[in-house]
Amino acid sequence: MRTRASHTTLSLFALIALVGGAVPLAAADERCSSALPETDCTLGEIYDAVYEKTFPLDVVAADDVGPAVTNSNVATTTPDTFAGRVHSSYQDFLNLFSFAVNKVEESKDGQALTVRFNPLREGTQLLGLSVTVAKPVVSDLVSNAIPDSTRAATVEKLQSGLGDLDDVTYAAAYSMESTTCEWSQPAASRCWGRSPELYRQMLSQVLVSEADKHSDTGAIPPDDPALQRLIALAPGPSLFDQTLGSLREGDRLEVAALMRQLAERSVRETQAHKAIFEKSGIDKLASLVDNQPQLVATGSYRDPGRFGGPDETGISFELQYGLENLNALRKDCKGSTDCVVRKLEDYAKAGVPTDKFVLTASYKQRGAYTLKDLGLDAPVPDFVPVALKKSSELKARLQWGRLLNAQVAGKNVRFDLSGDGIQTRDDGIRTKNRWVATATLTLPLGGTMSIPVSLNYANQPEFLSSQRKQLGVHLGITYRLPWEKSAATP
Amino acid sequence: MKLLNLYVQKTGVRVDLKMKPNPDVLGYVVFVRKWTSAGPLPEATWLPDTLEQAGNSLVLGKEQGYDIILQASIRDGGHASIVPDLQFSDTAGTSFTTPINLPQSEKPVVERGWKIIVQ
Repeated sequence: MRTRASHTTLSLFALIALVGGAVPLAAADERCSSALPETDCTLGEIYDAVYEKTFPLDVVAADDVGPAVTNSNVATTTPDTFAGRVHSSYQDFLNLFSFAVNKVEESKDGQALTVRFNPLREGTQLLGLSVTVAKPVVSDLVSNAIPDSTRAATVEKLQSGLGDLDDVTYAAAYSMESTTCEWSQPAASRCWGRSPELYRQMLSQVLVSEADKHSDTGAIPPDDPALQRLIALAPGPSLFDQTLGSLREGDRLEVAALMRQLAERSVRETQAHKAIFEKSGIDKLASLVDNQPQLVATGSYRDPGRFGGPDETGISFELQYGLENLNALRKDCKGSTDCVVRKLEDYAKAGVPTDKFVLTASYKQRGAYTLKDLGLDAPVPDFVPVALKKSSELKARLQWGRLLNAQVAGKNVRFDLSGDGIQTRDDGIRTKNRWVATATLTLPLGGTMSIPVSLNYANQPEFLSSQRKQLGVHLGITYRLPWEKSAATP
Repeated sequence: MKLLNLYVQKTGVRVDLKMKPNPDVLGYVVFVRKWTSAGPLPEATWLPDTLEQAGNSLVLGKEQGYDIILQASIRDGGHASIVPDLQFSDTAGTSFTTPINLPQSEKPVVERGWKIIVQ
């Protein structure tokens, strides 16, 4: 009876999720919130019904629920996809290398299979290698060179002659990621990466220091008369798991009332603690983790097969960090979590500065590609041989800014630098070659006004607004209206 | 603090706790508080490095009771949860292994507790 009721409730929530778009993760249901709840309600569900009125559970969007529902209704026979077929064909071969293979993944659309090898680690340096086999296709470059009248049939013929391993991409990803990070480790040893797991022990120690500052408020002692009465009326080792129906009929109303009373006391205790934690600035820890330095570099080479177009080689590099991060806090506080707690309180009042350093660069090269014939038994009349030259594209972006020690009118001067560029070569279509750089010195004038002085450079003057020379200087005044909130950055 | 359960146990029963948090949990700590005739006193503080590996244990003494309190700092906008494995060495094999959802409505720090009355 109990199992059936729960099942019905779960189905109802799934239906609401699909129709209404959102549903609490596991809300205590309505049947347990009345003055005399249904007999199959547990005492825990009666307590939850009251508590979750004030502090509701998270809501899951329909998008999150949809896939789970869809997946439970998929056919038991697997569709014939390229990735699945290749995976099965090479399963025995891959098993021989199981000592080196970390993961074999089929893409969502089933058109590619990726083999990820065990990452290699040396200190904070991590290297991951992978090979991806994609379903080979006839490139538009080739199909457009075939006359309209025979295109569809010829492409189909070419497609049927392609092998499973014709389109292969080899990739390597390098990143800096620490294995441990502690408040007490020397400030000079920087922690890399933004995974919460890496910093969990550190952040947990902050909770301990935070708790030391506050006394227990609202805790319910074991000899509390309401608790003792509950234990007397609902005897058993696990009070919240008992159903109302398992108790004596004459006691049920009183037990339900006592559980609601207990929940109301818990709500008041949570409200008091929440107010304390909101002032503590502990929520700023997430921003500090997100500002930790992150360095990632990737390289890849793709051979798309004879009819797949030119080979592609790509390299990308990305370095990001926020100036105010856990490393900076470690340096300032020298292992004292009490100091960290004080700093967090300052962040709660003034905000975490949003200054960031970002350097990204990517380079992509397409090899020369020639296709004189299609290699079919019967030559295709009017086929135009394909000849494409080597081409390349380089993109780079740099942003950096920080407060200087120099002060004007009692406030720190700020310096920002930004650069943006794109260069393409020999692709015969685009000849863009654009580089723009700006350095800005911001002089504060009181709390609401500042004077930014910018030096701009562009390889072509038209890339800069209202400027006819490659190099120019801009002088301006920025005034913040009195009712606008001040920025987090001081 | 929201209560997860209230247990009635005997002196000498061992309590074992292991935890497995998801990535939306930034940091967490478990405080053990014992209730003596003089009032509440801190008994132990358990941190993630032990809780997630070997786990932590407590043997119930001749006290009035204990509170096992979880405090978890959670990320904005996530769906934070912790899967506990709380086991009692009583004859009934009492345990609590239901995932604990840590809702945004209680952020930045969510508190959950098990209350143990010693009889």
